[in-house]
Amino acid sequence: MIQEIVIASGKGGTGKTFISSNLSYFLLKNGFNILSVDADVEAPDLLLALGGVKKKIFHEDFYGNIVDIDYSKCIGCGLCEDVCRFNAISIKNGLPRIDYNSCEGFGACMLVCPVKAMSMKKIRRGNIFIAISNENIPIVTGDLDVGERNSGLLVYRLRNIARKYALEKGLNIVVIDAAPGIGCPVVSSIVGANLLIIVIEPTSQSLKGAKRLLNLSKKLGLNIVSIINKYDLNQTFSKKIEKNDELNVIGKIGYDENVVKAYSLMIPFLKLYPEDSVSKNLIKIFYKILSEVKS
Amino acid sequence: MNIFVISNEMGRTMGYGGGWRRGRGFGGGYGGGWIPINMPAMTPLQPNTMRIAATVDANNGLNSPISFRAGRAPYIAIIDVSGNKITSINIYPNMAMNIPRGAGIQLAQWLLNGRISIFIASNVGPNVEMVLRQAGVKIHIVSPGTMLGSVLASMGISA
Amino acid sequence: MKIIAVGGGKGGTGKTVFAANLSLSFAEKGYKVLLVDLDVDNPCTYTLFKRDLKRVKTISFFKPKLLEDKCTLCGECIKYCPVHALVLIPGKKLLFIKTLCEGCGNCTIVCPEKAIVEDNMVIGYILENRDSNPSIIVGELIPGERKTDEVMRDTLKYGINIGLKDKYDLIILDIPPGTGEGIYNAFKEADMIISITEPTKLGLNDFKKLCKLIGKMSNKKHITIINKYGLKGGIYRELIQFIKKLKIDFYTIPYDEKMMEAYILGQPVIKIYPNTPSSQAIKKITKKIEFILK
Repeated sequence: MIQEIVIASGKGGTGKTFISSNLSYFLLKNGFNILSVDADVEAPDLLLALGGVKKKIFHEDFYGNIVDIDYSKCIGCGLCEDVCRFNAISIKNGLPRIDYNSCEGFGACMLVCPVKAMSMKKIRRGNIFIAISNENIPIVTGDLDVGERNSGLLVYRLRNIARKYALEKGLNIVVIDAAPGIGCPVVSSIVGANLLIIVIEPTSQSLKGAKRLLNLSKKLGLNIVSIINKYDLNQTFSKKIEKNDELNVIGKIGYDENVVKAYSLMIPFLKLYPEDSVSKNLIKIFYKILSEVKS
Repeated sequence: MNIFVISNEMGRTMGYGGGWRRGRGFGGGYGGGWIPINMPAMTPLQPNTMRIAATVDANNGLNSPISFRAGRAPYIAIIDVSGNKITSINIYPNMAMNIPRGAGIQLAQWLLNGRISIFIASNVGPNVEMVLRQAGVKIHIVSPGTMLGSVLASMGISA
Repeated sequence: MKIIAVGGGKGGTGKTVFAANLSLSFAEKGYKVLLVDLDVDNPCTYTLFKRDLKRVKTISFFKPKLLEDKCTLCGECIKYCPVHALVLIPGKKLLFIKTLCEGCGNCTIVCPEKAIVEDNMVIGYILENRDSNPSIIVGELIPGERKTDEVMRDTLKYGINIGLKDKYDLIILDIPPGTGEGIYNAFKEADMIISITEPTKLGLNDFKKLCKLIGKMSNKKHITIINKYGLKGGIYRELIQFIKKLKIDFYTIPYDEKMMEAYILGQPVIKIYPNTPSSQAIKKITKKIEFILK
């Protein structure tokens, strides 16, 4: 049975990639067969955090559908523009123009076109690949081309590929690094996972984001734990967060400028500074996560 | 029976083995192409017969283990039962397996079209559960890996 | 009226803090400023101004409504739903799965009985406080809804309309992290894009992608701010080399603990620590931007 752990935060910059990369490293070193997934497809960083690419073993282009107009048939009636709910069609010089960034390819326009001037076309919106990182961790990562839509669907596809790979290789844990926020790609990252880890900074903005994420996750029904990152930036506020039962805080780690250095060297913090107090705290927290996952 | 599945991707994939299927309506694409994919047609339900569906990991008759996946299980077993005896068993490849989203729902629609009354799986997503329940289909949750034959036997059904 | 977009790229680089401080900085110089928070997943720019927000608009999106008495269970609609949000229980009932619906409207078009009609569903809100300068407009997505880009777009449109109507001098858009379509659309409206990056490995990685996005738009003035400049262990040479190669104008804000303190206290740093290095840098940058925009 494959366990899926997703790390999200509601607000950017709290340390999701820090937790997911170090958790992946920890699990690997403790004998688990793991797979990591970078679901932050608009700004993917997990591969870097785990040492960069050692070997690419799979690649797939990610396509979306859009609608194409055959102008030799088009009579300029504008019915297509009326019916498009995504503001993807505008009329210029009497003829419809499709904005390929906004078009979802659902085809309501195709249905109403009286002269069948519209048809489906495939366009590339991004790509997915699996790489073994220099820390020997397989990472499924996706990259949405800039300005594109459907990040949620790309994440969905990423997760399916990850599950398939995990099944085939007999891996037991999948660690998913989600995108910031609570939007579509985050929902796609969380749906169906076993455990959600919320990373929180001791600021009201981050707490607000965490609560919104909590709100969303409750609708999806999964186990939730929280980790307070950089807690020493505001210890009073940190204590307040710890008292929130819903968030189920299982530990906290302090701010450490060596985190930046570890990233610069692309080496997991746990590996580079194993004796650091942050590392020691991380390990305590990760053991707790293991027991959550097993139950 | 045709089910119009919205999937248009025929992305070329390369890399590790394990059978990525290339073909109509598979893969990572998404969108509004209404290409019919041929979900294998089920035979019409005979009178005095009840139809059971199960999500399985292999095409091995009653010795197929129940899959730990539901909507994306590789095979679907369709068992027709009359009295307490199995009158036919057919195992179909699950054509909804690689669809980017909504695999469970598509599978559910096919099962409803085939008039199933019982669905055996190790888990079922909230949308599929709602749909099957509304249709009056009984959902039987069992441990993944259990042999299909054992599950049926426990329900009093034998070959 | 000029529009400045601040943001995109990596989370946590300091976009919101900069956007808020820049707004205040221009306001202090006598400009009539409108700050529009487009981080609709988690809007928090307003928290740095300690003002209450008033809900002024509800953002809704199309959802279909089934008129069961007109439905003949023909099953035509299920053929054209791209996301399988419609399921037919043969002979019995048509089911609509609201959470899967993307709102394309195909079902309303193809139903031969016109049994599916348009209905509305609330996906977010626009809130505002325009009692003092800078005025603030905030877009907020309801948690669980997936139409981030649509809420962003509606909020942006509302903001620009208010800006024009009430003759604001400057609109500053606080843009969320990322490089997707919603962000692209917001950038398109701006006269100037200010990207905020930090001298870290991950920051540079995301910054490269952001520059690719900005590069898709010609004639956009792009300046970049390297925040937390001086952060120990960070990468500098690689970052500066990249910026110089792309010929982007850049400015720096020094790494300053007072900036974090101000953030935690929920105040703009230029207000409570006006003499700290980061405040000085922000004010200098304000002057530079003022000059460029003229």
